[in-house]
Amino acid sequence: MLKLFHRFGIIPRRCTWEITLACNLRCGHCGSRAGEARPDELTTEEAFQVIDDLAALGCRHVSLAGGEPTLRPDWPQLMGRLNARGVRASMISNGQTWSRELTARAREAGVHRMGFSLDGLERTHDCVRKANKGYRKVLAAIDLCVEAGIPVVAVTHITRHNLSEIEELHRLLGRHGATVWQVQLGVPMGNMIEDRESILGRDDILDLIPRLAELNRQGRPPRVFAADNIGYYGEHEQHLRLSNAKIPFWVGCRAGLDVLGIESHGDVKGCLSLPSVLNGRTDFVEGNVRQRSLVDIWHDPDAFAYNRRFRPEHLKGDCASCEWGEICRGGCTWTSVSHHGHPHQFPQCYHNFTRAPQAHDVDAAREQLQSGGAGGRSGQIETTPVDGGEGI
Amino acid sequence: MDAKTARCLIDEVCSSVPTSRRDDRSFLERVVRPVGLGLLLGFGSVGFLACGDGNNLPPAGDAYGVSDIGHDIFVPGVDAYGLPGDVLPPYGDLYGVVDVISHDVMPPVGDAYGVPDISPADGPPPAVDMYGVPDF
Repeated sequence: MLKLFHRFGIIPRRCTWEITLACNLRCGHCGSRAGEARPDELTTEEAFQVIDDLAALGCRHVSLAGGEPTLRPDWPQLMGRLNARGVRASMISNGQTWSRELTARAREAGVHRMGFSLDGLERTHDCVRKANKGYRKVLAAIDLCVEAGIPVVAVTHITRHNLSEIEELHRLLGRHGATVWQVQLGVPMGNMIEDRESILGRDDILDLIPRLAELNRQGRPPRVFAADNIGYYGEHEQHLRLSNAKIPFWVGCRAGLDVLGIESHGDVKGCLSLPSVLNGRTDFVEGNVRQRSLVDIWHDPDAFAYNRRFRPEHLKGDCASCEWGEICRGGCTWTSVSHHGHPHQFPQCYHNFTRAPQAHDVDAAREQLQSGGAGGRSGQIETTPVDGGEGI
Repeated sequence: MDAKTARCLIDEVCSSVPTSRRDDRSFLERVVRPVGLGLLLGFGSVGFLACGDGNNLPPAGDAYGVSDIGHDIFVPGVDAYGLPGDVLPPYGDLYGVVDVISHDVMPPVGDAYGVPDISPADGPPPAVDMYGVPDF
């Protein structure tokens, strides 16, 4: 079903751009283990060239991310440049240093939406984020943006730490005026590897999906948006995504199809979340904007092969026998790779859990992780494929 | 909806798209460069412009069948793709470039799971709460 994308054009309509790896938090689930800026991050002029190339490629939305993007001083300039090139710019922040002044600067720079991470009620959030009064700072940041008329999206990593707080969090965000609540599953990558016990298993997924769908059925704001690693299919699918779209269901990972990720030193990936180094290999890095233009990288016929050259026989594990496989392509590539070391085998699939409630990929993956098969502390992923697969 | 019905729906949406869709080349690739090359080679720009599909306008619907930028009237608060906007979490990457396990900045004591992640030189952690964080 790649024809859907080919029909509408292989265009990087959306880009998530890590403008710095510097961060003022050390969150327990941070996949990038952000903290210090890379020594060779793009200069402002280099970043401007990236923006111009994104615009030339037809990109329409860029999300400035990090690290903590506000720690890069020129973020308002980048945002302004994006807007000048006709590209909507949003930003995701942890809110720790957000202020009235930053709100004004964001508005002046033409921010399209502000995203703030909130990972639970007060004690949970501050625990996961390791942030003193972090929860209160995030809510204050949301309030400032709402007051200034900036649409706010709250972003939550769902783990066993906050699974019981879903409904209360939704009510809280509604009271504070968030427009959308983006939820996504915690994935064994980066710091999260050391907290793998909190990753949702089969029973957790079967509990979570109907609850998220129910929040949208009730229709009270904020609208719950299930990110790419929550799903897929079944009776709740259309309530997890855009129910009134012509295609109200998951159509597979879009990395390298209409989504792009850029790291702060110029490496380009189909999705920013994908590992840059996996078992010593850099398969997901398609190039660096210092060596080749972003336009050339995007149009490289050999790039993003895991999606652009997907064939159903690439599916692995339970996904290989799934009737949705051709459309789904094995779910979120980031999640699949983080669990298994290869794409096209989504371990936390609602449809899979409901069709065959016995042994599942996620449980096998958890056992594999617990046996020490994955993860180090260096920031690189070292994964032993559960099924001995050939990887990408 | 079952997978078979879903495939039919995708086929239907694909077939409803006008034939001259944007392809995977950018405006730069499809127009600017051919024009420049055309001038250079003396063929003039007109012929090269004609080589394009003549449709540089964005499609009326995106890959999900949702109306496109400029027409995104379907659901307030979401963009043309039905997404909440361009805000994704700060997951960043994994690169092994920076190892922040040293926790050299925050938190001062005790990690989220009650494991003191400080060096012995920092002294013993203070009392932590049930979550393992210092009880602020």
